[in-house]
Amino acid sequence: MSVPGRLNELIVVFVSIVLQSQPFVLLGVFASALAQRYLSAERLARWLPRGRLSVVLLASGFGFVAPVCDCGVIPLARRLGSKGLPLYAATAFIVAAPVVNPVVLASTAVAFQGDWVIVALRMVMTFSVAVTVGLLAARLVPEATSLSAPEPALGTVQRRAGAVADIVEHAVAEYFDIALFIVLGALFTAVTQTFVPRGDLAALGSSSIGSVATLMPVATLLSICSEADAFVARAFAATFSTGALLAFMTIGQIVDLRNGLLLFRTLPGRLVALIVVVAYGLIFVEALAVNRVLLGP
Amino acid sequence: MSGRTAAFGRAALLLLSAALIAKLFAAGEMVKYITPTLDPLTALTGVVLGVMGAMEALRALRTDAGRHAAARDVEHSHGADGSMNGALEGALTYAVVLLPLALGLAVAPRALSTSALGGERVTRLLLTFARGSAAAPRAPKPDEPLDDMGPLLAYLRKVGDGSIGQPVRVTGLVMRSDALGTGEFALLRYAIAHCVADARPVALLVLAPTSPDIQPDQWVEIEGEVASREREGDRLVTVVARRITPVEEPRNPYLSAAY
Repeated sequence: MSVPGRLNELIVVFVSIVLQSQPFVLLGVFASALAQRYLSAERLARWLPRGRLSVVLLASGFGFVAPVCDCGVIPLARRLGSKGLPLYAATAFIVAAPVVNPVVLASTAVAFQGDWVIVALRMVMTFSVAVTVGLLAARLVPEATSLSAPEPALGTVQRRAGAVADIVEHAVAEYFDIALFIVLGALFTAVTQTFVPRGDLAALGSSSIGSVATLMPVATLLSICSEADAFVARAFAATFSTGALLAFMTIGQIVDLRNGLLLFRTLPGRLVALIVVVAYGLIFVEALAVNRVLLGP
Repeated sequence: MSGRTAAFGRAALLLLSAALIAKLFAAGEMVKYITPTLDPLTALTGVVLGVMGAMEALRALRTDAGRHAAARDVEHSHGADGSMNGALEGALTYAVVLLPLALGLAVAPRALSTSALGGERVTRLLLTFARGSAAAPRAPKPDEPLDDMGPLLAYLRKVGDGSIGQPVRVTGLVMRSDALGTGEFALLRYAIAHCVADARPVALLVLAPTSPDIQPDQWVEIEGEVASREREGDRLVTVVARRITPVEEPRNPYLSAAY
């Protein structure tokens, strides 16, 4: 079946986002299923340091151990939450992991042709938002609050099934618990990409402040995967300031249309609001500071 | 929806996802969605989805699967007391997940066209030689024939305006604009890193010997040589065309973002 121009673009972008997210969603749901089977609450409690700051710092850097992108981070965060990871730490992990992980930092280095300053600044900006959100969340929500994950009714079956069947069963349950929001997010993103006139937005990006203020909402609307967004950011390099490019690569993985619905489903509304406000505020200021240092006052 | 029906629904959707990936590979359509460099990962994903679907179907077929799956639905749904909300959310999930699968299986995808530029001006997209780059005194010969946009971009990156005078053959979409002169048009390709959602445009100025009667969005193959044209302070990478031939959309219409 052949369809006319704009509808073809909408369908191709929509299907491509869904297809491209699948490996990363599977990575997340299987990581969650493995954690369910092999990580006990007692063991997690032994591993967690004492003190909120230590816990938040550990959670913010946990992406280096579990490199999941924004499609896969929610299932793993929920599972760790169900094992006793405090909600504020899970929130910091959700914010940081899509960027603060070796795969994404390597792809950023490739896109910017080995410019390690860009790579380091991207990591630092994301890490700063995660730590700030985590510490504020610790004040906003009770210490004992944690996330819950979908639980298949295993009971007698768990004793009967082998490890592989058990893991797959959990993965299927987790997959269908988030699939609705992944697909709806992909649809919204495809509609935005197809019908929002990006040409008009690019025309606003000539000033230091204007370029940052323009690219941040663009990143939220485009919702590009964290392993690919650096290549798109590089394409903006001739038009927008370095601070704006960093803001684009940072905010787009924290506040994005594609996973926004899933974030609302997973976290309490006030935590989602906290993430949006802190991320937009802090990244905006940091991006302007980068511009000031690089471009001068 | 009974638990057993729901389990079969999940199995069907997972198997359909695997079938979609297999169909796109078999029909050569995967390149219209995702870069070929991710093919091994995408194929593995199809296999894993197929295995998940098969195991879910087997479990649904087991004697006690109905009771088991029903129990799971009750706990699983955030509704979550077996209420109408849970059933509705389950049905909505299956319907929404089915949508991209049905579209992917039914629609014959085409490459993004000029309308996907979202109103960006042609003059902002045209490739330029780097400012202040001195011409290479003796540009090395290309490592590979400059027979498409990708090798040309790699060569331009390597030698800059030392490429001027090199014979080229490039393929792309015709893009017209009032900002371009008589006999000029832009040749457009999109580069992708992962999938079409991260596509970014790359455009070359083409100078045709005569005003060609070619419609916008027509794929063409151009034979000519690299030149430079001054425009508003920029030196535009230009292909002076000797021959322009309308062609079918290439099997892989996208460039790798590495260019």
